[in-house]
Amino acid sequence: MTGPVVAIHDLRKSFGSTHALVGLDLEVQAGEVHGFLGPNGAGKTTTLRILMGLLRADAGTVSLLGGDPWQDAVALHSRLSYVPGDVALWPSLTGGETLDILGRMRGGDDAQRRARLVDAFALDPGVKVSAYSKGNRQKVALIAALAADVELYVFDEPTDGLDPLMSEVFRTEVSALHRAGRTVLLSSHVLAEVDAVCDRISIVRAGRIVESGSLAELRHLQRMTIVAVTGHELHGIEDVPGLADVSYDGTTLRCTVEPAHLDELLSHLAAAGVVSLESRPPTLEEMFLRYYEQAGDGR
Amino acid sequence: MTATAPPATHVDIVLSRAPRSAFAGTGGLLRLALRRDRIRIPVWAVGSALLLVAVASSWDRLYPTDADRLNLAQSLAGDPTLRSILGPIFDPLSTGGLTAWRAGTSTALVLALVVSFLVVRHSRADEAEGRMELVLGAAVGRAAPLAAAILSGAALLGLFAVVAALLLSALGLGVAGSVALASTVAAAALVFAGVASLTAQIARTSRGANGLAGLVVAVAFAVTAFGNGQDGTSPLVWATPFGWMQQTRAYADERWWLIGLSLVVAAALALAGLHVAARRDLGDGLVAQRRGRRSAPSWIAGPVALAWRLDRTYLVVWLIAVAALGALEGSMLTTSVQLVEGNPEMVAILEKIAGGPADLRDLFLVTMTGLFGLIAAGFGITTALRLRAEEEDGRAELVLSTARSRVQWLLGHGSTALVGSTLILVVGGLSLGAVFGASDGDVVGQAWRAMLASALMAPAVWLVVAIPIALVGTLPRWAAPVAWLVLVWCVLAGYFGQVLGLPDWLQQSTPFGHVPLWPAQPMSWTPLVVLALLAAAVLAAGIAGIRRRDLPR
Repeated sequence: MTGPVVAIHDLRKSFGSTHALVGLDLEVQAGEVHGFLGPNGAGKTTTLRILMGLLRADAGTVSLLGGDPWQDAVALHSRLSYVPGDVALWPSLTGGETLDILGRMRGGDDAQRRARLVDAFALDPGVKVSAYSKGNRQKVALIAALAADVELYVFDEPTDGLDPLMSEVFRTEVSALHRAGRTVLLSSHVLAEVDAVCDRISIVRAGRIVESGSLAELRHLQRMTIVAVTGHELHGIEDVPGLADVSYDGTTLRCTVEPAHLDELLSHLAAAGVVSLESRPPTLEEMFLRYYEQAGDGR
Repeated sequence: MTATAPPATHVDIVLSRAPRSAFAGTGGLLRLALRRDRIRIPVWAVGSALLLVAVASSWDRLYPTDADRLNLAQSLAGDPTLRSILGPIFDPLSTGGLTAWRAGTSTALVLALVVSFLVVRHSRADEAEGRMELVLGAAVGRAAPLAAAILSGAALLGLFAVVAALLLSALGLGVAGSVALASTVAAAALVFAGVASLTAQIARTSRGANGLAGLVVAVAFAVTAFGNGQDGTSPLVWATPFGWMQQTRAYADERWWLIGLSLVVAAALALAGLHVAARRDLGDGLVAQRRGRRSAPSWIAGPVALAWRLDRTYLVVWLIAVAALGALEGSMLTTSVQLVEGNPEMVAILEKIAGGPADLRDLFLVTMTGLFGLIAAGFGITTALRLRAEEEDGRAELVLSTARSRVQWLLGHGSTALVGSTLILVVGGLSLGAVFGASDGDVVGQAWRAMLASALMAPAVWLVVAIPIALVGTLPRWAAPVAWLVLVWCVLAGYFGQVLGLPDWLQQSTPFGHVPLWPAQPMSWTPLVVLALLAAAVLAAGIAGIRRRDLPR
């Protein structure tokens, strides 16, 4: 396999007068767990549906596992598995029947692997889907997807409706896929989950990607939070560029600083005699909120 | 028509152990139901009333003199088939009496089904799909959703009764008779709203609740038909709401108390439903949830096999129903032939339907098998429209993300619709012919003839069923409305065309209008081949469409 598993360039899609995607770019490399972040309505599900060959792109290029997701849908689908955002199953079938049928339609799955997953997720396969809770229906779709031994796994809001225990099982399974060298594209707005399992993320807003990179890279580009206590009073702190959210009570300084100006801030602090210093990279949540707050334009 | 909505105090006496708060929020939910069905309710109510009016206004043109009408009554009342299905004629001389006889039972039958499905739609369907949980989380009593559902059904019937009574009176049919006919039809249908309020408690799915309610309607209708078909007066005509409706004798010395009987039974059934609804757990039914098999048989490995697995129970129910109907028709055929043989007027009417002189038994055969075509189309359309439900509910997305093609997906419920409707034609014909043959002494021969006569409608049924399949492939939002419009057109033109005085070309404008009436008339292959080719072309357009369009849309 050469080249990225998913390569999307300048993707556009409109539904009537609604512009869902306006030039979206996304690359997922083989072997990475890629987080696809964005609030509801940002275009995540539309992108994934285009990748699954369900929707046809208006413009742009999309390559999936080296093929065209619209033309080669059936052939590509035997090499991937997908959990849609809204899991709906057949109420008159049992969970076990559903797993069998979905597995066969995908081209066969590993019985042993599936049995292990049914166990891990604590699913009772003899119960009709109509009697399952929302979380149990979600588990059926997750087990069906995870039981397939394929190159790419695509999840749209996979832990929606799962309890924290089962969400943890899901994270463990994704980590195992990662170790086995599989590629995972995970759309989510559960940031803790993305933080725990993803090594690269793309943030989508109003139909285009606003940031993409490894979590470490993104953090380096972002403001750090600084809490410092100095021996003497600080002077001229307002002259340091790139500071924000500043509060100073005479001894303790709290602020955020752009990485480029960290050096200047530190020399000011050193001049005032640093007693203690805490620095913290931004949490994913802070980064995420910042992208959306920056965009005062709305959507 | 508001018998199911007695003052809250009455309800509380009957439901003495249920807290008054069980009905909290009924008014708001009723407004919600009326808002959701602001088109559906008036269309069915006014449409059914207009059908009555259309039939009523045709008699003066078709049978202007008393002599004509007596003739009609003599020739038709003797025919056990018609008497079974339509009930007795109480006053053949008045336009009102003829209208009550010709259209009363069919209107009550249609409204009974419409209103029971409406009750299920606003009770069990909302519950099974999880919407009710949202509603009950608000300050709403446990019995309130069902109470609102029943009241919305009563509102539909009330609207029908008022419109029908006003229009029939305006035609000069007599105010008392018009009020009696409109209210007895509505009251009979209201009993089945009560039945549905119970079946919605018994079954856990809306499909199950609808099926049970439909079964009760069918059994009630069959019992009345059987009673009417007996010589003399069978007590069975007093056994069901359809019988009470007919025996109300609208326009012929009305028995008003029978309307009251329907209302009381409707209220009792509704209260029983409310009693259960106020006490059971959300999502629970009286039918215990069974455990199922833990694995699927190996033949289910694609969308087509999956559709057969999902649709098989539904198909079997329809096959049993059509076999029962065929047996009922077959058992009446011999008597019908004997009665009509000495009646040249009746022979002339039948020959007019068949388009020329023919053997009497064959004439009856083609008349009776004609009904199977509409039934098969009804099954085919409802099954084909499951494709649309699969898409809207999101299950299509799951299937299409596997290594199965869009065409395979379309041919899933598409194939059960086409093949299943063909099976319905075959089974209906076989059953009719076999039962008729048993009295005729030639079981195999008659079964074969009736089966062929019925199966000749297959290309016409395929064309009607291919339309919703093709629309799912091309213009999915139009699939349901267009499919039902086509079926209504087939029923109106083919079944009521003569009564409504539609021109011949319009009566024959449906696919069924082109089917050769073999064995009553000579066989002709051309229309069958043309219909089959049209069906194939429509289907091909759907297949081309599904490969191009966004899904879900």
